[in-house]
Parts: sequence; structure tokens; C-alpha cells
Amino acid sequence: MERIEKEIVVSNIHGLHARPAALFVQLANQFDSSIMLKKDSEMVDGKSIIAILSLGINNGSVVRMIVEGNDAPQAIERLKRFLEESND
Amino acid sequence: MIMSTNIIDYLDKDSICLEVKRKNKRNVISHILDYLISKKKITQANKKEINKLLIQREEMGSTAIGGCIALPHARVNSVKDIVICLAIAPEGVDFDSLDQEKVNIIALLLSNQKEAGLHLKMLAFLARMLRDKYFVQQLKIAKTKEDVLALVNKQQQAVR
Repeated sequence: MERIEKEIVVSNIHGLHARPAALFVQLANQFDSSIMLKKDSEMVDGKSIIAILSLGINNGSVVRMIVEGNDAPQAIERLKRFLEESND
Repeated sequence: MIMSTNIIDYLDKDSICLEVKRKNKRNVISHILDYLISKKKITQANKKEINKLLIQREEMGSTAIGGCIALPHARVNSVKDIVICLAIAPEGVDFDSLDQEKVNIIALLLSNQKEAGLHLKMLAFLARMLRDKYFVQQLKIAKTKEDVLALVNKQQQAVR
């Protein structure tokens, strides 16, 4: 099983507020891999909206994504793109 | 001025609404706004605008994010700083939740347009408190507003 970690600078203009957090989770759930998001010292389940919201991710926040599973490369690529490109 | 991010600074007995019996999202939101009007947290004149913004936001995607919780929110000019209402519906409300479950805890957040940063911080802080299932369970069975305030106060210190 593959484990990949990547540091990502979030580019969503309003940060990861409720709607983009829900879209992120929707996207994350398309993959079998486990997805964790870490900001500062806190790490949460990337498939839970409330957990992601609780991180208070702003535009420009640096997060670490840890993905583990058979589809880890595809998952991290897709989710990274979402965080870097989403501008709503 | 630097605004506080302590939830408890925006919560008092008049921002807690117990025993909500409305069955669906629109009725609950309207009921909470009427409650806030009765407590002079918002004005009757602004209800229509606030209600419209909250419903528009719900139409873009439900704010019921699973785990019996909904966080309806809007940024509105007519609100000074931040208004929060913590509403508890022991029997559950149909809120088009993402996990299809009924919602028991509705934390409604209104912030002034210029407070974008604080708005996100408040949403984050509400989420930090409400992701604790034990806390949510305790809120669901709270009998008095004093009980709710005590629980929130304790939880705020625990997650800070």
C-alpha cells in the first residue's frame, strides 16, 4: 500500500470554508485511500467536513496532505489540484 | 479593533434556543430568526434579507455537515460584528443533511460583510467544538440555557 505526503499552499480565496470543505470531502470520498490533512500540529480526517472546517484553513495556509492506499497517487494529485486551483 | 474569537463572548442566554420543534430547514431558520428578533439580536426589518441569504446559501449545498449538526451561515451588512444562535432540536430536523440524518444541533452564524476572516475563524471554532461527539450528545440532552452555556464554556477551554 502506498503512502504519499505533500505540502500544499491553499489558494482558495476565502479559505476552506463550509462549501469548499464539502466539495473537498465529496472528492476525497471518490478514492479508497485514507486521506489526512495536517495544519500546524493538528491532523484530521480529510473525509470529514467538520474536521476540515475545524482546521480554519485560510487562503495561503500551508497544509500537509497524507494519503495512504492503492489509489494514493491519483488521490493526492486530484485533491492537491483542488486546493491549489479552487477560487470560490 | 481586534474582534474576539471566543465563542462565549458572542453567546448568552438570549442566543440559545431550546426545544426547537420545527420539522424542516426553512421553518427552523425562520423560527431562529424570529427568536433572535425577540431577543433584539437582529431587527424585524432585516429578517427578510437575512433569511434570503441563509436560504440561498443552503440552496448551494446544505450546511448540515453530518453528525446531527448544521451550521447555517451568512455574511450580512445589517449585522454588527457577529451574531450566533445555538438551537437545539431534540426530535431532529430534516435539513437535507449530507449523511441523510436528522439534525439536532443548529449553530447559526451571521457576520458582518467586512468580517470575512473572523467569519471563517468562528466557523472553524464551532467545528472544533462540535466535532466532539460527546459534547454534541451532552448538548442534545441539555435542559436549560445555563446548562448549555456551561457546556460551551467548558468545551471552549478544552479545544482552545
